Formats: sequence, C-alpha cells, structure tokens
Amino acid sequence: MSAMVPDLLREYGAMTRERVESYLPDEGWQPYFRDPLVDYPRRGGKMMRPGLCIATARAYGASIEDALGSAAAIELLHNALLIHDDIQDGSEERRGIPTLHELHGIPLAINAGDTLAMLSLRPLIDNVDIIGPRLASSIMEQSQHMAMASAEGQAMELGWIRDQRLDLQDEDYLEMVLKKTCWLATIFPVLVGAIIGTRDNTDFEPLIRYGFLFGAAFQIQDDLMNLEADDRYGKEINGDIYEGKRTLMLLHVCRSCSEEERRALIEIMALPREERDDDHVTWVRSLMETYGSLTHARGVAHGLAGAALAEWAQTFGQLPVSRDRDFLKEIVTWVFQRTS
Amino acid sequence: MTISETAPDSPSKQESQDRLHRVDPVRSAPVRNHVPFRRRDNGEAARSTDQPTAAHQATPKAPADAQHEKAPQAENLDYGIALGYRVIDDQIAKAKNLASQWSRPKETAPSSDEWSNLANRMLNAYRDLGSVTIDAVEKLVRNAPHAAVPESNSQTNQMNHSSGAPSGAAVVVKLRTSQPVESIVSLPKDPGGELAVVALHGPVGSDPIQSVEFVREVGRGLTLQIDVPNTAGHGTYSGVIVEAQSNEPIGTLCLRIGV
Repeated sequence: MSAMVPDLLREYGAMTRERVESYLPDEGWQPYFRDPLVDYPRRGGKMMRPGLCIATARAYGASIEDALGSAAAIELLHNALLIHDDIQDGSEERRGIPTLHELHGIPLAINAGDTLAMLSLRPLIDNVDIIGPRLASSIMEQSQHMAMASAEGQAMELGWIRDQRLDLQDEDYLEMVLKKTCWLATIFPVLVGAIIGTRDNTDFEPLIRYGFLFGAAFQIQDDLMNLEADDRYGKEINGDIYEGKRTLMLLHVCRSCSEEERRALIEIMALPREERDDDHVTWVRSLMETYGSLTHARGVAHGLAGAALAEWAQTFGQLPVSRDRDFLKEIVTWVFQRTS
Repeated sequence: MTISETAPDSPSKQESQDRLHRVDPVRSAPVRNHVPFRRRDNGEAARSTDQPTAAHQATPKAPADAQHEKAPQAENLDYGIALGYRVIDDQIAKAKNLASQWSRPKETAPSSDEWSNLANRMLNAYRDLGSVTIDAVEKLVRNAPHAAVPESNSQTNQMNHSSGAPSGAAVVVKLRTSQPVESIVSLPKDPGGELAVVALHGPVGSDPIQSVEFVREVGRGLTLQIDVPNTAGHGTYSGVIVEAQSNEPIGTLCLRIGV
C-alpha cells in the first residue's frame, strides 16, 4: 500500500488542525461552553475532507495558504455535524471515546454543535482577505448549497428510520448518501479546492461526479467496516444494525430473503434501539452473510470506485503531474485499504 | 451514516498492528470494466436505461431480483457503476431543471457560449484586479509609518532574521544557502520544550530538505537552523513543526527557494 495518501493526510491534517485551533475559544471562556466545544476537533481523525480540499487547490496550482482557511471551515462544520449526528443516532462512541452527549449531556452537546457550525463561517469570512471577495463569495454560495443538501440527506435517513421504511431501492440509498455524506465529505472539498485553484473558472459537473462516486464508495466501505472491522474501528461494531441504519446490505438482504425471514427482519428493525438486543443484531448480521449482502455491497463499492477513477482521469488527468494530483487518484483505492 | 473517523495511529503503531484477515476478493482493484459506462463527450450517460450496453444488460434489472445473492462480483461491479451513474445523472438533471426554472433571463443574449465565457472571465479578472489593488493600497496606507526594507537574501551565504506568526513566538532563522530563499515560520506560541521539524517536502521529484534543527540559545531564545543543499530545486518546501516529545503539531515551516 502506497504511503503517499496517509503521509499527505498527516501533513495537510496537521496544518488544518493548527488553523482550526486558532478559531477555538481559549481558556478564558466558561468551561461549560469551551470544554464540549474543543472536544471533537481535538480527537483527531483522518482529515480526509481538508486533505481533499488542499490537494485539489494545489493540483490546480494554488498555494496551501490559499486553501487552509476553507479546509479549517470544512473540518469545523464536519465536527459540528458529528455532534448532532451522534445525538440523533443515539451513538455511544466516537473515535474510540464516549460521544459528546454521553460525556456532557444532550443540551450542552447540542450547544457545542451549534457553536461549531457557526464558527465554521469565520474562516470563510476571513477568506475575503486571503483569496479575495469574489472567490470567497463563490465558496460561501457553495457552502450554503452543501449545508442544505447535507440536512436533506440527514432528514431522509432519519425519516426512513422513524417511519420504519424498508421498501427502499439502492437508488434511494445512493441519493441519501449523495446528499447526507458526499456533499460535505468529498464533493464540497473538491469544489472549493477547484474554485481556489482555477480562480472559479472550471466546470463543476465532472468534479461533482468524481466526488459523488468516490464518496459513495467510501460510505459503503464504511458501512461494511461497521460490520466487519476489528477494535481499531472507532465506532461500535454492528452499530449500524443497532441504530437501524438503512444500508445497502440491509436493503439487499431484505429483498433477497424468504417471506418468513423478511417478516422477522421488519419486526426487528421496527423495534426501538434499546429493545434491539445482541441476538437480534447477530441474526440480522448472519442473514446478510447467508444471502451474500456483504459481497453485493463490496462489489457495488468497487464499481463506484472504478467509475470515480474514470472521472479522475477525465477531470484531473490532464493537469501537470504532481503529488497532489496523484493523491486524488490514490485516495480512491485507499478507502479499501484503511482499517479505521 | 456520516463517515466516521477514528484517532489516527502513529505510523509505527499502525505497522505493528496486525492487518485484518479477510477472504481475498475475487477482484483486487476496483477499475475493470467501466469503459462501457463512460460518459459521452456531451455528458449524456451512455448507460442510461433506454440505451443499454452489453455490460448494462448483464446487471440486475429489478432490485427485488434475488439473483444478487449468488451473483459473481463482476456483476456487482457493473451494477455498482451503472447505479452510481444513474443516480448522479438523475440528480444533476434535476438540479439543472431547478436552476433553469429559477434563473432570470439574461438582459442581452450572448452571441455564443464562448463569447459569454470570455466576457465573464474578463469581468472576473477585472474584479480580482480591483480587489487586489484596493487591498494593496490599504496595506500601504496602514503600514507606511512602519515600512522597513527587508534584508536581502538573494546572494548571501548565511542569513539571520526573526520570523514567526504576526502574534506568534519569535524565532531567529539561520539559513545556510547559496540560493535566494524566503522562509515563513508559523509558530503561534513557543511551548518551551524541544521542537523538531518533519522533513521539508518540496516539488515532485525533489529530495526533501532534512537538515532543519531548532536550537535554544541562552540569551537568543529559539533559533531555527536550516541548511539548504546546493542541489535543492526551485519551488516551495513545507513541513510541520512538532513538539519533539509528544510529536504534536504546533506550527508550520515553509521555504520558497528561487524566489
């Protein structure tokens, strides 16, 4: 496995963390406010989003400094959404440590999430002095679109769980992933990097395709790791089944199993999270194994990654050879090699 | 289902941990058979449902079809590609429709797309130029009383100058170089301990600059010694300043060689 992707993620991640840190409140603030606020941004992470943003900007010829503020904004917003996401999903662990609402309670966690979301605007405003008002405004416009799409995707997933929907197609799942995950995780960082690198003089459509195909492959792999990973994985194993997440594997097994099994499956998935016990989860997991749902999802993820590489060739393949350009290619296959 | 992230392990720790043992996939690389699904030049999906390709016909037609359970992975791959493009093409088409419904008609129709693009680019260039000019004038006006001529570094063999973030820790930089070099040290605060710099990586094909060292000198504070090899190529080299003991990143160092 090439070390280029982890190396570059570490390098750009360290720079982004430093910039994020400069926006976080110092010790003069009330601990009830500050402690939950600085928790998630300091837990570390792969820093894939800021890495994509900086690498795209550099691949087009921009400097790191030009993209660093936007990368910090992306990371701040990502952490804000993680806090809300963990509350909505009732998650217990994040990056191997109890979730923020488990540590501080839901009201303080929501407050921290709201503040981080608002803080994420600050680097975008500061962008005016760094990259000029036109590019800064274009990035703000994209960020508004991304925020709406992310919220819509989140609502789709929460609505499916609330209404116990299992009559969903793979297309529905991918639409939800496009909105909920890909816009913030992959499409927006790449778009912002391209806006900065080309001075807002590029066609967004191929970038959106690349970001979606790569992001969807990443998400499906993440869902698979939730069922297959070892203790290096930072979340609860089989947590998605406990939480009733509509994954590609769940939709596949639901349409592949027998009538009798489907009835039992629907019954289990309709239970509130606290009533879905280990036996239920083990049964659903083994049913997925029996009907090849994991193999199916893995194949779909590989197909999406292949398509993402084809889009990379059309979009970035023409750019001068650079470490950043190659990173945008290597990261597509790296998603299948990571362990966390 | 937000993508989760976990605290990264150090490289050495990662290497020392056992890898996951899973059954080898039938295919080890994701790119195989995407050619039939590539978009046409005009962006239209070649694998739309009304124009099936051979590979597309091989993919499951109805999701309820239980053939997935024993389908070879190649079919799942094809299915994944077709599915992905179907969803993104559909979403882009919807977005375009929505945009065309909401967009206002242009006051004057451009003679062609090309002219319109050129005009927009020219307008943008003027906007940028205007913005940069105003920024430059503002900076000149603000800094005029404090303006100082920076020490030239183009022909000297050894240069000393203080650097640091505007409100950051003061660092004396000792550069040993035969080339014109500009150094930018971003160190918001001096944590007091021993500091180190991960090698400075530069343009593709160039060797990283390894000889970078922080020294604490009595009476002089923090000194950064950098030896730039004569063979170092022109370009920007950057690295991360870390606290040596904890390896925590605390700042960045950037060298521009050949400026």
